[in-house]
Amino acid sequence: MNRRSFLKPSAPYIQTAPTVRWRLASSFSRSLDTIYGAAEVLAERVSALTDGKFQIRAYPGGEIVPGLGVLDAVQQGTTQIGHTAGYYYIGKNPALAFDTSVPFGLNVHQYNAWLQASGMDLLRSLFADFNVINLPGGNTGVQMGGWFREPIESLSDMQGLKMRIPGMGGKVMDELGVTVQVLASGDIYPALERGTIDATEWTGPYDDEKLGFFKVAPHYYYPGWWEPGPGLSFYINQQAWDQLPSTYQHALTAAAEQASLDMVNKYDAKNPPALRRLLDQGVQVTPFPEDLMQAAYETSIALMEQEASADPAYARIYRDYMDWRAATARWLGTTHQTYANFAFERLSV
Amino acid sequence: MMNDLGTMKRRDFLKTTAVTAAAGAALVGCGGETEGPAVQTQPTVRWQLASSYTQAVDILWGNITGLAERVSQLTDGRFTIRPFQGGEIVPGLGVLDAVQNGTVQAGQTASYYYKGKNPVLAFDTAIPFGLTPRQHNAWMYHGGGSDLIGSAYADFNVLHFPCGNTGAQMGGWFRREINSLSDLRGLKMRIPGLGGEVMSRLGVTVQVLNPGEIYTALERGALDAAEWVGPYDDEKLGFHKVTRNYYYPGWWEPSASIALLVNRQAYDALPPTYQEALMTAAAEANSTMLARYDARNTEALVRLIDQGVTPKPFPDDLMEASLTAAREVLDEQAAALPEYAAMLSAYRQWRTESFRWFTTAEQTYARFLPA
Repeated sequence: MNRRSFLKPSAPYIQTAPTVRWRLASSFSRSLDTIYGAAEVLAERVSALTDGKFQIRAYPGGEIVPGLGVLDAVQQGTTQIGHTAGYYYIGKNPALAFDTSVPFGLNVHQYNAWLQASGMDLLRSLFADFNVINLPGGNTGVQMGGWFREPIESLSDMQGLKMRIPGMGGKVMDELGVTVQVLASGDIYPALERGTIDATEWTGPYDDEKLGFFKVAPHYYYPGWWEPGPGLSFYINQQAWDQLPSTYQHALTAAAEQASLDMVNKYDAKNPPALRRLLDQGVQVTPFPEDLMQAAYETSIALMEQEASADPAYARIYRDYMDWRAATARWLGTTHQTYANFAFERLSV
Repeated sequence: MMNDLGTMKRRDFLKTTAVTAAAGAALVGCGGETEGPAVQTQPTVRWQLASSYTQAVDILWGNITGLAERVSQLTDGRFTIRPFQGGEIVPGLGVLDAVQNGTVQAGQTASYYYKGKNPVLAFDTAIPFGLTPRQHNAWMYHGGGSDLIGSAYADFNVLHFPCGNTGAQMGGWFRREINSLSDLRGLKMRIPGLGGEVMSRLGVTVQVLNPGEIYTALERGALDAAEWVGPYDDEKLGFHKVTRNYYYPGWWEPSASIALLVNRQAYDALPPTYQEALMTAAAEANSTMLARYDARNTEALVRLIDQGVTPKPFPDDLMEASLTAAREVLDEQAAALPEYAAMLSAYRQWRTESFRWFTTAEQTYARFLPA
C-alpha cells in the first residue's frame, strides 16, 4: 500500500540497483559467429535493459574454460553463466541430450512447442542436479548432412567410408558401417582435401561455406537427421541467479528468449544466400538415399530404446519427447507440411 | 561533447553514492562482482494499449497481457501497460487510428486490417502464398522487412514491432466436401482480406462476418464455409459440430504475424531503458506465441479427430488456381502503386531464396518424420 502510494506521483522516484558483472563461458569459437553471437546478443540486451548496470562478458570456448567444460564451470561457479549444448555432457547424464537434439528428434517448431508443453519442466529438473538453471539459447534449424567426396547412391556406399561426425550421429553412422572420425574444426579441411577422410558434416550452408569444403568434396547431402533442430542453452549457476535482483532475473529471462529467437532468424537469413552461392559454384545438393534414411532411423531408435531400458530417468524424458514428436508431427503434417510441399518448389525457381 | 560531459558527471555521482551506500553489501564469489547499489531515478509511466482481440482468442490476448507483465517486471513496476480488449475503449479494427491519434499509446493488432489505408501493410501480417513464420521473422529482423514496414508506418506516426505469430492457419470448415476447384463455385464463404479477394476470383461468394456470427450462419446454411484460425481457436467456436470437413492449408495465411504498434511521441518520451524493455518484451512475445500455438494446436487437432473431424488437403486444382489468382491480385496492386511494387519485389526475392533453402534439410526432414 505504502509503496503504491509512493509510486502514484508521476515525479521520478529513487531506486537502487546494484552493478553486477558476470562472466559467460561459451563452448563456441568466434568463427561460428551466429552461434557464438547469441552470447553477445544476450549480454547486449541485458545491459540495455538494466541501464548498463548488469554486465555480462562473453568468452569464446577455450579462453577461460575449455569448450566442453562449460557445464562444470557453471556448476562450480567458475563463471556465473555459460552458453553451450546439453549433448556435450551425455557422459554425465545421457538425458541431457534432450536439451539439444537427438537423431530423428524434434525440429525447431516442435522443440519450442515442447518446451512450452512439458519440456522445460523436465529439463529444469535435470539441470537442478547440476546446480544450474537453464534458459533457451538459440537453434540452428535442421542441419545439413554434410560433404562427400563421392556421390552416395545407396546405404551400401556408406560401408567403410571415413566420415568426421561426432556425438550420437557418429554412433549411428558407426552401426551403419561408417568409420567414424572425430576431428577439430581446423583439421577437417586438410583431411578432406587429402582424402584422409571421405566425408564430413558441419552445420549448414552459411557456416560450411566459410570452411571451404565445397572445394574438395562437392557432394552436399541433406538432411542432417542427427541434428534436426538442435537447441542451444544458457546455463546459470543457481547461487548466482538467487543473488540477482528480480528485475535482473527478468532481464536475463527475456533477453535469453530474444537471443534464442535471433539465432534462428539469423541462420534462416544467412543460409539461403549461402546455398545459392554454393549452387552457383557447382555444388551438388542432394537428399540422402531413402534406404540410408530408413536404416539410420531404425538404428537411432534402437540405440535410444536401449538407453531407455537401462536408465529410467532417460526413459521418462525420452517417452515424453517422442510422444510429443508424434503428436506435433500430426499437426505440422497438415497445414504446414502441405503448404510447404506445394509452395516451396513452385516458388523457388 | 555536451552529452559526454553530462554522462561523465552523472557517472561520477553514481560512483560516489554507490561507495557510500554499499558499505556493507559486498557480494562477491558465485554471484560475480557486485558494486551496487547505485541510486538512480526513473519515472513512473502508465500506458493504455488497445488490442484488436478479446479473451475469446486467449493465446492472442495472453500474448499482450504477457508482454505488459514483462515490461513491468523489467522496469521494477514503474512502466505499466494496461491492455484493453477489442471494443472496450477502441473498436477492434480501430487500433491503428487510436495509436496514431494518441488516444492510446500502444496497440496489438494485425497490420493487414489497415490495407485500405496502405495496401503495403498487408506484407507485415501475411500474403497469399507468402513466407512461413521462420522465414517471415528472418525477413523482418535480418532481411530488411522491418525497415520496409517501419517506413510505411512512419506515415502514421507509429512505430512497429513484431510481437507474435499464429503459425500457418487452416483452410477452414466446409459443409460439403470439396473434391475439385469447381466445387467452390457459388459457395458462400466467410473469408476476409486478400484470401477473400483470391477466393472471389475462383467463384466464391465472399462474406465478411464478425466472429460471433459465424457459427450461427454456418449452422443455418447462410454460409457454406468459414475459415478462422487453426484447431485450437476453431474448436472453441464449435464449427466441428456443424461439419466434419476441415481443409488445409490456409494458403492465404501461411504465417500470420501480430504487430505491436506504438505512438511515436509516446515512445520518444520514454527513458531509453523503457524503450529497450518494450523491444525485448515484444521479441519474447513473438517467440512464445508461436510455440504456444504449435503446442495448443497439436493437442486440439487430436481432440477434433477424436470427435470425428476429417482434416483433408485442398484438391490440387484448387491449389494451382489459387496460386495463379493470388499472383494476379498482387501484380495488379503492384501496377497501381509503386510503393507496393517495390515491396512485392523485395518480398518475392526473399521468398525465392528462402523457399529454395527450406526445400532441402528442413522440408525433407519434416516429410520423413514419422507421425
